[in-house]
Amino acid sequence: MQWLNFINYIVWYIFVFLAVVWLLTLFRNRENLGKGPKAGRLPSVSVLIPAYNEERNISRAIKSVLNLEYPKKLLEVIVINDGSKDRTLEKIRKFGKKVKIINNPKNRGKAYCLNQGLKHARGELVACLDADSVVSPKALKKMVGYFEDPQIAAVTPALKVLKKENFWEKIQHAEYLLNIFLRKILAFLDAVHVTPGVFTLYRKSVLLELGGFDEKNLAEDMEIALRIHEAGYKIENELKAISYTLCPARFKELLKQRIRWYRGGIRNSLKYRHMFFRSKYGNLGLFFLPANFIATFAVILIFFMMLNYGLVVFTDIVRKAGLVGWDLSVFLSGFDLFGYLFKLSTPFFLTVISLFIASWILLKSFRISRMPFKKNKPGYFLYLLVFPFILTVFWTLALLNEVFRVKAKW
Amino acid sequence: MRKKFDKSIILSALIISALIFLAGFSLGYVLNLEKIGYLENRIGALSDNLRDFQFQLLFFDFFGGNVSCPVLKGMLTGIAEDYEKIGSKLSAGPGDEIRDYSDFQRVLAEYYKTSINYWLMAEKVRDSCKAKFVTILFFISKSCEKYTPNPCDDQAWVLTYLKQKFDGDLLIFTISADVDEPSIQALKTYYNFTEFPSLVINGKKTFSGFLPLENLSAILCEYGLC
Repeated sequence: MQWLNFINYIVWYIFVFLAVVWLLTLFRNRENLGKGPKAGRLPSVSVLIPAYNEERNISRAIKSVLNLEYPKKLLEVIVINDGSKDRTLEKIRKFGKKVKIINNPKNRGKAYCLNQGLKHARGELVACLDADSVVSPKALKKMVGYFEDPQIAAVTPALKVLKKENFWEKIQHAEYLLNIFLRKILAFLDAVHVTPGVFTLYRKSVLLELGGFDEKNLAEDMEIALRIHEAGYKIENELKAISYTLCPARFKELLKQRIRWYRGGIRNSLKYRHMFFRSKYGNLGLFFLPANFIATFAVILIFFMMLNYGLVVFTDIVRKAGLVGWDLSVFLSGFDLFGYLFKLSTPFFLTVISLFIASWILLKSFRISRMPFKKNKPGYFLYLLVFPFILTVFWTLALLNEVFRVKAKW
Repeated sequence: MRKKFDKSIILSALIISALIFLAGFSLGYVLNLEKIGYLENRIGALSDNLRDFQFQLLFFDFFGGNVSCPVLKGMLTGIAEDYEKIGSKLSAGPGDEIRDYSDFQRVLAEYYKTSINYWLMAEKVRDSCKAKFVTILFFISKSCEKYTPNPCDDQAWVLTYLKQKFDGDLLIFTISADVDEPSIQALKTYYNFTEFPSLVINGKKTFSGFLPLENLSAILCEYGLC
């Protein structure tokens, strides 16, 4: 079992190392955290909203865009109905001339819709908004200032969860807050490698130069981000531009979503592997892309180690129970807390240290997102103590799906 | 356009995380040494108690019935409790790094020596006081690790169960046949043990190889523990 301990230590080191990189970056940029550039001139913006069977959410999304604190003459809203079978089109039509409608008779996928919208968009900048999401009124104004730097191709918002009512939503709420923190850190390092569909703002000329979104990609938001970096442009992040999205409320939906995301992540990492370890691509190429790829396998390794350990413990308990004629009282009567504490060793202390670092980072994420800790205490603890194990399962299933070429589902 | 690489952050992070790693290891190491020190003290105290007990036995030998057997049995039971607690702390889980420490091996050898001392005294009390408790000398060896499941671990588990069942009526003394101590090697040769686990019941009857619960229960029943 010595080699397992060794692997455990390596995996532990990788994760602590990544956490320290984040914290050092945060420390170095602490004074720039809440400061974004103000726009000298307001550019015209087209907001693209692809929608497929979104009769429940589409009105809310459109209303949030129409409520943006931005000159109406500079704002264009384009909704692409992607062959919806419900009343989505009817709901969109209720907004009259305030929105432009592109109606696809057949369902063609989100990236296809975005490319369609891109062709029709008249704005200098283009924002993409998922139909199950909303954007806060001040978001756009906070984001446009970044585009005065010609190197900036996209600006990502601070993405939060719209509803946090049940177990899964509470965990994801905490996860999204952590992602807000991480995306800001990555922006400081010029290494944002995902531009989420929930109100990322793009420079239209760059999107057109790059040929639009990859329509066959499982994670088109990661693919376009990598293509932007490959072309030498930068992606920024604005903490005060807040957008909200509905996250999967049931395990089955969450599993499906994560498998698609992680499979997309694996595919895009392989597609852009030529960027790995290339100094031309700065922090992203030399460090983050390879580290992400390695971390994927580290996570999967942890899953199998946990599975192995769990099986060993379980079979041992069952066997031992059999040895004493299934008299389970023996397991209970021998409980000695001091005896158990006495047996704790280095791996335990390393786990405590990493848990301390992780809880501190998550708390920092709450603060940066201006989310009081008491508003989602369960999410905080569940994310720290439960979700990592669930995520390892998702990653493993995503890799297995990819290896065995299981047909991808959107 | 060529992008920037923040070498200073990555290098600083490499060093800081290595320091955190080292801190975790150092903490583990220091606490392991503390644990060994603690066990050493407990075994030392146990040896002192056994010396007192030995003194009482000499008293018993000299004065015969003037010192009552219940006192001796009471002392034996008190020592047994302490002995078992130390034993459970020594039998750390598989893969526990403390086992790799040479100091731990030394403490373990000390414990096994104490076990023999304790067993001899228990035998003496049983014979002299015609006591009803049963003693089991339990020989384990690293050779058990060649087998899956480990027969020494399984035997230890069955014995733990029986100990819980019969409490003070059953005294178990664990000895590692691998420890290079003259007293341990002498016992191993005396009983001619080549296979492990091995058991000696009441100093006379020997069994080699794993004994399932049913068989061991039947044997103990012959000694009045049913």
